Amino acid sequence: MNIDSRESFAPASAWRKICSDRVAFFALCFVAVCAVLCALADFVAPFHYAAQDLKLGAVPPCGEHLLGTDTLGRDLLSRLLYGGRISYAVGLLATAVAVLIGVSYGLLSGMCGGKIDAFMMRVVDIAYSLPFTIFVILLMLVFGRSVWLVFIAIGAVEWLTMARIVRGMTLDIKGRQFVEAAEALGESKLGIMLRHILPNLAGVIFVCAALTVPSVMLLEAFLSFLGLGVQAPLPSLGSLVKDGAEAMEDAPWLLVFPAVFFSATLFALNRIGEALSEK
Amino acid sequence: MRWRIATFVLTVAAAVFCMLLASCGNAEPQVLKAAKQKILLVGNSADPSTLDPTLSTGLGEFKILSGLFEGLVRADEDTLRVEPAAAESWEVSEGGKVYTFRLRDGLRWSDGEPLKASDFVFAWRRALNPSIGAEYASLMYCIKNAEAINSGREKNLSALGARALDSRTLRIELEAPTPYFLNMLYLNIFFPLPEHVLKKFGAAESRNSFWTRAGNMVSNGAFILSAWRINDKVSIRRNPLYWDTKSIKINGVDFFPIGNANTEDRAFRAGQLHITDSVPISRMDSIRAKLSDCLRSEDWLGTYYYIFNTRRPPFDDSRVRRALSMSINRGQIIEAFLKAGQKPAFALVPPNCSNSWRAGEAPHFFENIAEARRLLSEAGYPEGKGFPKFKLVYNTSEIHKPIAEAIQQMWRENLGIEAELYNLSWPAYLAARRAGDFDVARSNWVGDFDAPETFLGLFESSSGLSHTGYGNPLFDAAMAKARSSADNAERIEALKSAENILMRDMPIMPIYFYSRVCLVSPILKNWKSNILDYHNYRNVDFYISEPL
Amino acid sequence: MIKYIIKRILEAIPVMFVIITAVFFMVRFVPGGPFDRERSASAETIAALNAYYGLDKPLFEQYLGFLKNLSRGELGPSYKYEGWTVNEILAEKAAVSLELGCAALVAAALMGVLLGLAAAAFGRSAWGAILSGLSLLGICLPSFVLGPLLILLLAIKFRCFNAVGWDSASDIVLPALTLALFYAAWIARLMRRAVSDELSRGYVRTARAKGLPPGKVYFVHIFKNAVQPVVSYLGPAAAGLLTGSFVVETIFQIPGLGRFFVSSALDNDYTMIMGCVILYAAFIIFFNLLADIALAALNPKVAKQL
Repeated sequence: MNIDSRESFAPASAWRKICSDRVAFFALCFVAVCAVLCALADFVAPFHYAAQDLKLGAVPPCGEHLLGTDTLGRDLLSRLLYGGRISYAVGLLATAVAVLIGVSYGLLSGMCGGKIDAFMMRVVDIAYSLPFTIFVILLMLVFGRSVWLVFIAIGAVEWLTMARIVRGMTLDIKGRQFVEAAEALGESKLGIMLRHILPNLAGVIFVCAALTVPSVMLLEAFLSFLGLGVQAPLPSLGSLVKDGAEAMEDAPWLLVFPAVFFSATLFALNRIGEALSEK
Repeated sequence: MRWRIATFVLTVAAAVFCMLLASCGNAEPQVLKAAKQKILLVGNSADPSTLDPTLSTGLGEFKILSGLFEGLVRADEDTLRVEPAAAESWEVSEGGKVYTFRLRDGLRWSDGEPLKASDFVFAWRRALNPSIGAEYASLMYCIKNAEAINSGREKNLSALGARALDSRTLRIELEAPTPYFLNMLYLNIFFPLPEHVLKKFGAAESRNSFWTRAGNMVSNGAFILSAWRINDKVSIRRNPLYWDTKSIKINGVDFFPIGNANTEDRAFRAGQLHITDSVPISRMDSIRAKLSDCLRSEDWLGTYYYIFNTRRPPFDDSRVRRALSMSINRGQIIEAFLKAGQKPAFALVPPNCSNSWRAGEAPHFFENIAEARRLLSEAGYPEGKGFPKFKLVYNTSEIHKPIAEAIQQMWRENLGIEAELYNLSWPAYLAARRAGDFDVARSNWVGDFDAPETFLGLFESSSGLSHTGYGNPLFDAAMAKARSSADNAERIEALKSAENILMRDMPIMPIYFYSRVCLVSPILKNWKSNILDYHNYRNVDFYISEPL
Repeated sequence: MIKYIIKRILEAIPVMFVIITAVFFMVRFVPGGPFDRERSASAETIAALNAYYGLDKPLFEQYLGFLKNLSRGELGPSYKYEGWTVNEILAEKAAVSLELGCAALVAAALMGVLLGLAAAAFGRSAWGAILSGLSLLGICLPSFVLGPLLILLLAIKFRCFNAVGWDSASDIVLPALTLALFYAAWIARLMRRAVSDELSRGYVRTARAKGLPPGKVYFVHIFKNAVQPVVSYLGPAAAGLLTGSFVVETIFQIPGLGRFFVSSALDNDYTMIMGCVILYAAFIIFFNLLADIALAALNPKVAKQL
């Protein structure tokens, strides 16, 4: 990530950037359509995600099951929609957690400066040096298992980069004239932080968040590979891809559809992030 | 300029890729290379965490140790019939309570030292020493004073009912006539240990020492340890000092601890293994179609079941437990994804135990949804109304998850009750079981030796291994009767009545009896199998001249 | 410069100390103990084991004991692998992971830089879009899909390589490739952005106007500036690669470090967890330092600040 755009965030300019890049525009449309479909999974999905038909077993795509079924005879399309919902939610919520922690931490560190800043950044260094895998597994084991915890555990790891970037930019902006002017006019530190610095950071935060979502989704897939993802029978894209990878020879549709959906989503999100960070 | 540079970069990339592909050669498959050297390549489930026969608990370790060490007796790889091994003969006296073994003449450890009867006594005392903390020590409790020593009540180790009368004679006194005593003597905890070597490495009274490493370990079996690399492989090679080394046909075995069934399957197909430990269930259909000449599916002495937490309502009511057990369709689970000849279980002890356990007798119960609903409403939950949501705990595995999902659905449809699935890591799962933090939990038991006691003993109130909180004095009495009876028919009768009581109380819900499914390369000759998955590698050989 | 390195190393000591302390106490909150096995039912057995390994002492005393051993460079015995010390296991596995990780790192850097250069050179043309899309592929496809696909194709179908294992020299190719693709994707993306930024700078036009050969401008001036973000990315990437990958090691059955990062945590093998954490932290600190030194060598401005 190369994030040094200095302009303040404006929805119009972000929209212009996306529109000027045809691939990014299609990516945005794709993600939007998928997100809406998944959000409406309760109404759109032909079956419930846990509805089994053991006698049917795994069948390739056919009229009744457009994307086929898994070994328990569950409709793959429905599971993809529900799984997509979980994965999108994981991505968004974990990113939200990461943004919340990262931005407030970075802002605070940058605003305070001096010894407090040095101390706070040292804490980030420490967290950076922890092996992520062990950290997440221990978190999961200590606090038991729930979908919400997956979000928080991932968010709690992903905030570090955000904090560093935000702190760096805060230091930079703090020294500029308009902030000094505001200080001279007697504005409180909090006011300066919220009214002058935060708006100037919005663009960077947005880009950084857009790129965090796909990496969170990839992490969720890794946790599913370890068997630490969401609790069955609830699916997530990661667990569907993992189950599909195991069955790739006997029932290729179980891998192909989830993997295509998953990869296309990641690709689209990455592409959007890239387009936004373009100057 | 851009175009020229781009073309240049692409050409470099293409060249690198071509070089990579060109480096491929069609080498001879490993299985053939190894077969020429008479080395067997075996997929072994878990990485051995120890190779100390006293401390080892896993089946994967048992497979390695059976090649390295030899007990007083061994079993026939086909029938599990007991054969003389380190002992050439034995006598049973005093109503089956005293065994006197005569060791072969000229037995040696792999370092050339003579093997004496006292090496057995040393090994057994060590196993029972409470400070060693051997998990399998309870298998020895049939020997006089063993339990007292292991629990610390008897401090004098020499009180153990096993004595070396001279360097070739071993006299063993039992607590009670134990008809299956000989069937346990080929298990690793009964192997002799080289006292001189353990003393040298300070292992006589300590768990943690270097004597089990390749180069340090001295053994008395057909093979010696030549390499042990964690997560990589364990190699054993021919022991020239083994008394019967002439009748061993292969020169060694390499064990690969491939835990992931899919990885193992790919290794087999790439020609890197002669035998796999398992087959990924997601690939059963295509393996049956394409590798049917390699696929083996055999009976195994094991039962897959769910345990109920009988301390917690509503599972403290046996009607509820029976209702849950009657309302699932075991055949469908097997057909839908196990697919390998497993049999639906309506009892704890597998029917292949002791040749034919309860052959021809009626099952303990039937699958009957109407009856299950009646029982549930009798217990106060008509159509599942008011039945609390309960916790079904299982550990991470390719098999446990779909079974739990299927059973959850069956209970929901047939009884109107809702289970919540909890997938835990292995230690967390064990901890949850031990602490009783579950309503229903996945469980299984694979027999340690070929007798019903290995299964039924779990549910004695003194055992603590079942984690169900179950205890019934009638059951305990039946088991005690079986233990003390000198007459085998009487013992079997008592065991059967114990199982009847257990299945009436139903602290567990049997699901299926195990099958061992594995892939065996067609170049292997005489690879035998048995219900304990016990192998001493005496028969196996290769068809080398014949093409694959 | 040497002063700077010493300062960085001294700074790392408190960081390591905090990490060790935090993880040491954290693992004790995980349910289950290292000796929970299916059949070790009797409480006496577990008590005997806990006493043997000193796990029955007060936690703080255990902590002090651990620090004392650590000061001598000893991590203690592994609780899972009886008869092995953590030092031994880590040393043996680190050799494997180092080899695999270096191969993957080189492959990732090569592929990533080339792909990034090419994508930037094509700019906004269709080829540029395709190449930058291609470079994203590694981020989009999880390695547990990519790995088996490579094995099925190159090991089982065409029999070019072994499917699993770590015996012959060619066993390194498939796992290194699987590992490298993910990192190559990040490097390519960094490279592409940096090069296109540089291309729009004034000095490129000036240099070309002065008549410098285009190849020299591209490969010497632009490359030297554009590779800087890649270098600072390579620090943490190297630490990640050299400590192994659980997924790749499971799929290819490689006896590397990566599996211990997962299995030690799942098995409650306390001493092994500590070993992994310490090793990883040391790697991160070392490679970040290395990356900073490399940056200073590339960029005199950075060097002045040291």
